[in-house]
Amino acid sequence: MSLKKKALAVVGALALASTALLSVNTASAATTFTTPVAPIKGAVKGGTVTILAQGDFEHLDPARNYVGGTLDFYRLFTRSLTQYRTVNGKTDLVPDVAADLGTTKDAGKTWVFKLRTNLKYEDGSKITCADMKYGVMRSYNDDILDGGPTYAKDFIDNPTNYKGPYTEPGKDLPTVICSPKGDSITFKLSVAIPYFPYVTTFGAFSPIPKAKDTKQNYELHPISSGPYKIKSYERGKQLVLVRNNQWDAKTDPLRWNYPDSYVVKMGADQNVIEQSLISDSGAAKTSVSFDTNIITNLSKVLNVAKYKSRLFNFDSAYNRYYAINVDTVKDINVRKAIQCAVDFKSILLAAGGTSAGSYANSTIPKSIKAAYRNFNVCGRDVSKHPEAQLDQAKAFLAKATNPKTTLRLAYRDRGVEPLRAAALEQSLKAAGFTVIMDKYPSSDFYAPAAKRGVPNEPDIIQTSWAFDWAAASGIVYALFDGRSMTADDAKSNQSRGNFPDLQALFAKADVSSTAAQEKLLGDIEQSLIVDKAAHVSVYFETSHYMAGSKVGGLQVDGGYSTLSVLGAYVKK
Amino acid sequence: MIGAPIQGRSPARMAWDRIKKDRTAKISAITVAFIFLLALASPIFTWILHTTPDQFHPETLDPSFGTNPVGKLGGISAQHWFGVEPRTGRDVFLRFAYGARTSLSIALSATALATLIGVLVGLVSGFFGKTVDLVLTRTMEIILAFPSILFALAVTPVLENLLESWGVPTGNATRIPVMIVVLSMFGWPYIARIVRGQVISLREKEFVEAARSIGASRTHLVFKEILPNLWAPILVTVALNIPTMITSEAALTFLGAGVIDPTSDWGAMLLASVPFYSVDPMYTFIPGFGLFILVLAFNLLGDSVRDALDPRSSR
Repeated sequence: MSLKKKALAVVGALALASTALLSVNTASAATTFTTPVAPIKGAVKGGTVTILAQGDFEHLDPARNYVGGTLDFYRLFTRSLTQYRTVNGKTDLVPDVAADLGTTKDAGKTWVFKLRTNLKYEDGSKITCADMKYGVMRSYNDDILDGGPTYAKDFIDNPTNYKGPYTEPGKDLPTVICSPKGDSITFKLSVAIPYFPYVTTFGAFSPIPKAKDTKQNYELHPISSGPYKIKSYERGKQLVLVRNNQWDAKTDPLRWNYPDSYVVKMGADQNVIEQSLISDSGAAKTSVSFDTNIITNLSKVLNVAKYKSRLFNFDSAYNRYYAINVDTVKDINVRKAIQCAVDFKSILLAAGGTSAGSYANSTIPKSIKAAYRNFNVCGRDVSKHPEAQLDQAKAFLAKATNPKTTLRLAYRDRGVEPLRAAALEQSLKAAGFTVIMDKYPSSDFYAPAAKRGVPNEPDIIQTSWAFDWAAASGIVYALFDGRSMTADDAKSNQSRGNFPDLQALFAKADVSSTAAQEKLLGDIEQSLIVDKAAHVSVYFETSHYMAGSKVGGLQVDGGYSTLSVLGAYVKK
Repeated sequence: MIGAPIQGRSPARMAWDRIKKDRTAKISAITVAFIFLLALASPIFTWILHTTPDQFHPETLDPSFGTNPVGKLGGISAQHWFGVEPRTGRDVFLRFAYGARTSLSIALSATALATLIGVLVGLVSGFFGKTVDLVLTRTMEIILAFPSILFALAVTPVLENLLESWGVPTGNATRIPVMIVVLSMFGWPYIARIVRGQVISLREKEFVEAARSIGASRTHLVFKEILPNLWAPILVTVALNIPTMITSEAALTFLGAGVIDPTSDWGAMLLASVPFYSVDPMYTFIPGFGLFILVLAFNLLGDSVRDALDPRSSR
């Protein structure tokens, strides 16, 4: 039930990772990024902060890390080119290994970042520009280092078809260039990416010493560049971080270092973690969890004064939606009937009700003002009338010239997803459809559900999306751009839409300024939902994380939409 | 001395008279009958309550916390006699009644299959003796030595995958037969051992010797001479085996190798209720209490049957 793996991590080009639902401000070039970061009021050094986790981290290798909570946590020992800094609830993009936020002279096709030159690894050796470049290069070997975002490989121009240092040792990636002095790094991209400094927050833009690279095993002990280093790591059981005395606070704009150590205890189940954090007894006092949303016991703690200071409630970036396969559901009236039959209310109740999420007409959240549109779905405001519109659904179905009344619903066997699918099944049946429930294993869903022209291809795909940065470009291109599909693979465009009029809008958006692009992408989403009826967004999830009474300094990170432990301290 | 005329009574009649005098037997028989009736009559309740065990009732849940049914004790009301399920609002009473169907049919089918295998193997083993007996007895011992629930847990997915690779669709249509087979695989040796012991003592009895001496075939000896004398121990074993099967079925389902939602089942209800034990304890209590009552009633009934059939055995 916890949000661990980001929704579409394995699929396609613009897969996703962590997010920036809360607005992230790009500080202007004139801003100076003060180092060290301003101290947290009342924080004291010492003690151990315990993190309770249901399971092990998928990957601690920077190139493979693509999970919200882990992306926050691994910053304790991993620095990247740029990074998010959250102080007093405000999140900014700041240079981390870089000394500035990057400059471009050609509207985003070539990016130059100045580098800090006085950084060290945990063993005292210097962090060099070559290490930064090597970090990018090894992410090209995503056959071996799988699981991470593929932005570096997707965006950086690759004229020599470079395949990574393990596949092609000795070969160079000529489009990533270190200056002769090693004090700046240049990226030549294949297309203009105005938001590239957000992309460089990901782990592929972290320094990796080539001599220490142990390929898949690197994640057992990533060499630290941050305030803590790994003392011991027993997979599935426990990870212990201790101070890294080679790290210098004066070089770091975003990290604190209050506790003497962080201990991650893995393997307790959802309910055990919920109960122990709520009870706040013994070791739970200094504990926190970032992979365990309070779900089943929420009604006991939400809005209860006693828990107020320990419970963190915030919007996550997760949008739960249904893609309607336009390849198999060809008649627009059938698709409209499906849209009207979706019972937003019972689907959200299955996930925990309005305290666990808020109804959404759109996968672009309201917070992305440039692109969000307040349109109706099936003729009604879904936040006011979340119930299924069965009469309208039946009317649309009666109008269909190419009726298709048997629908195959694909969903993942994980957490409450089967229940949400069952809720949809009920209202589809009530509207007159026959539903075939097609349950996929939790670990193997997104790729098989995206296969085109196969037997048992799903008609409706129950899926989700969390964007990687707070802009429509991090959503619409990934989810609705039919141009990236192949004849047998829809990639992350699960609805398989490839409408000529939308293609034209995408082509226009490609070459537009950021503001105009966001507006066009908003138009595309609206058209896809209202005119094409190929998509139904249902709700955005709300997070509820809890901490023990002795843990201070926790805050909601706008970069990753998670509860950040960077500033955690043990109260005396 | 004048009294009632002396009547000849068959052993069955004597057993029946003993059972009729046993209050525990009566109460437990009524309880078992009641649960059977509930299971059989579950479609009638669907009709009375105008809903089905799978129908969601979002209106019965707290809109801001889908985990909390509206109302006291898990949403008990005139419409929902045992309350509703968190997250879905499915009617707990109907799920309980239909769950009794699933649990009982699996347990009874498994018992029937185990009895059939057990009786046959026991007869063959006891009657033929020698190598046949040695091989069959060793097999039983090996099976009895297995930790059955753990083994069943491990075997179920393997069997399922095997069936799937032959093109059999997954789901309850395969799960339930697989469960019946797995449960009976571990159940038959208990019956076979008892039957075997009885057969060994019976086969040397005079009436069997007599039949043999006039040239009766082996089939005749086994099925016409010996088997009719075994019904009492078989009945007792079956009566005591049913509750074991019910618990094993619930345990398997609870551990995830059994019946899959949305089909109702008591083990599945217990599993589904675990996360909610602190917010909606009624939901855990109902299937748990149902299982407890049914297993207890069956055990007591089995004991009574044994006492009635074999009054010499001590309690």
